[in-house]
Amino acid sequence: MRFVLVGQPNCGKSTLFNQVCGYKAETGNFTGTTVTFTESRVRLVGDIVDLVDLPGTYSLEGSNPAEKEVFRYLLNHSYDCIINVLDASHLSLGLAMTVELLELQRPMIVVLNMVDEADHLGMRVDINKLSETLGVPVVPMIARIGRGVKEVFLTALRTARLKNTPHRIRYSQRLEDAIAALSAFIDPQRSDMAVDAAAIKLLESDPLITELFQARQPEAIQATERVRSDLAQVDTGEQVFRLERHEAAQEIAGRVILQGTRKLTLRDKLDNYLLHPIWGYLFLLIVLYLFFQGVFAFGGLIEGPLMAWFAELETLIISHLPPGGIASQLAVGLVQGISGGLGIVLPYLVPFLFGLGLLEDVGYLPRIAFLVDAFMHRIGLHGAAIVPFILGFGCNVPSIMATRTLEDKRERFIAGALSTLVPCAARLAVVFGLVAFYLGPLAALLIYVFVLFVIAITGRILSRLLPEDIPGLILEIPPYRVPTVRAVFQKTWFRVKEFIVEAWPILIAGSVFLALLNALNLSQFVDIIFRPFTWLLGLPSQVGTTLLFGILRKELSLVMLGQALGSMDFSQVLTPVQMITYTIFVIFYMPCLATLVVIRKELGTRSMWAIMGLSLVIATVTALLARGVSSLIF
Amino acid sequence: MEQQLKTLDEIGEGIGVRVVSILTGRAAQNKLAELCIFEGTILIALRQAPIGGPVLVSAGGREVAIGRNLAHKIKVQVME
Repeated sequence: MRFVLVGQPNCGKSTLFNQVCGYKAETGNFTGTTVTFTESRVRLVGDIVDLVDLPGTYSLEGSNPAEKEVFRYLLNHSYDCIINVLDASHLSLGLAMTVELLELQRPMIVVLNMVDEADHLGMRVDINKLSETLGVPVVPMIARIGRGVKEVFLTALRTARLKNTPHRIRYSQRLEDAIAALSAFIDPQRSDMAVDAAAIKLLESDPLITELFQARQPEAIQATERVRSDLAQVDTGEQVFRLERHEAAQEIAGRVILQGTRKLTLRDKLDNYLLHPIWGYLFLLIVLYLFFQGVFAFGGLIEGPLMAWFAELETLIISHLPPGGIASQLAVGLVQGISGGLGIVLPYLVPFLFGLGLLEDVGYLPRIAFLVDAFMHRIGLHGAAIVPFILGFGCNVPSIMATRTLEDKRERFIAGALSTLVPCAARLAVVFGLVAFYLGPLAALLIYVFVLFVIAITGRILSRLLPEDIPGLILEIPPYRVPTVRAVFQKTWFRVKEFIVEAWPILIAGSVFLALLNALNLSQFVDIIFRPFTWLLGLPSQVGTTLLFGILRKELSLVMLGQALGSMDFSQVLTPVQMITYTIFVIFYMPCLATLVVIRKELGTRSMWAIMGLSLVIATVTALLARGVSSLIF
Repeated sequence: MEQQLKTLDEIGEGIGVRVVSILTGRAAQNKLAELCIFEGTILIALRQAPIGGPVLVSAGGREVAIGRNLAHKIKVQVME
């Protein structure tokens, strides 16, 4: 009596083998390939049985040495029963090979291992129904603790004695016709296997069987070619059988898996809080609060000394150049460009991207997407688009980069356009320096609320203008992981490098260009260009130049405001209405140069122009609105 | 076993279902297929986000969030 253990890798076959190894009389390695298998002599209720442990494989398709060896063994050796071991927690995967084994039409039993784990996952397998469907006995087992092992061998013994041969699972009619057609050409006397099994393997171009038939029944090979060309599947014909087997396996698994209760894992427990309808959002707010606090604390720590150092450098350079000349002004422009880039990158971009990488690697970002999906749908996006928004509050540059995770082009454009409207840290400086300082924190808060409102409205309008079936969220929620610092650093550096290489040089060039304009006293021309806007919004014409500087870096508009108006005490030169109007306009008009460069790279030149145009329209409309409303208040 | 079909967004927490048909667009079908969700796949509904948010399902041990609109287009059969 000889039993063969067949199954996929890690299905527990070897555990089963080792459970009965106490009776081991002899083990032998079968030579011929690098793949070896073990045979053991086992005493079972008075019978001596040879037990063969074949290497674990996913199929008998012969595409790798192990598969070939298993198939060769099953063809060439004599045995009395196949013991097909399945991992119950991955049933449909394992059943695909079971379907293939049934085709051999040899006595066979199926062993369902790890039923406890499947149970843990909430899957209970209906043993009787599975046995009925497959037409072979099915035995549940937990090999790890030895439960069911005895039953396995008793069942195998009984099946072997009865010489019960199973029926194979039927393919689609088209394939069955092909199998029948080819079977007519196969001589059962000269085959080592059932005729239809041989036909299937020939049609699948199985290397082992093809070789065998070439030697013994070359006429069958010719017939195979004919049948296959009749199938008109010369190229895909080999795959068709495999696909249908997988479909059959899925179908069977669907029929026999019963619902049980899923046991809680650590992940489930965490998710019970983090994805909770109330606690989940509370936690999200706390995480975001800490995230921004951390970034701004870090930014403040660096930016002050950094900028002070650059200011010293500026004075130093000016003192060595003829005062008021073009050279000194250009030098200042150059230093400002360099310091501007560093002022964005080091204090804000680096901690922002680092924090993002951390949240990403922990596995929290997809959970944020899950929580906010419903809200995002209202502005024509889905949950995954939240990331650009969060980042936008720090700096619009990484937020544009983050739209990369969105697949749909339309979605990327909307998310990109909207996130440029999110008031970044630089615009925060304007809001605080102008509105909060002169009009109080409540006014600043109202401005923030207004901005969010504008973003939501813009989102709705954009998604109406670009109607398309929103594909909706399909996102894997991964398990929680402990992030590795190295991976997070690499990710951060990769993104920071892009900014340094792509956007910074343009920032420096732009800064020098503006310095040149100033030096050549061309700023009144700039004021004239901006006059339509400043006139419409009731602002002094001198602020035109500051708007140009604002494109370079948003907070420069505030810095230049003092210079343009000739006083650093803005309450002397601007009315409250003008302050609010100006702030709203600065927030929305034109993404800064660094952002524009990244938009062009990420979303294309056309999107860049579109976003520029859009931002001007939004800025003008909202600033007008702000002017109207605030003149009623003040 | 013969029960009337429901859509995935109607399934309560912890209930196992078998996907009967996926009536979404091609892109979503492909994306679901990448995550091994086809017709015939067994899913367990895990949780739902509030106010029309996505549903979270387990597909072969992998957890996938599916937007409510999409879930509404996935017909399933509740398993006993």
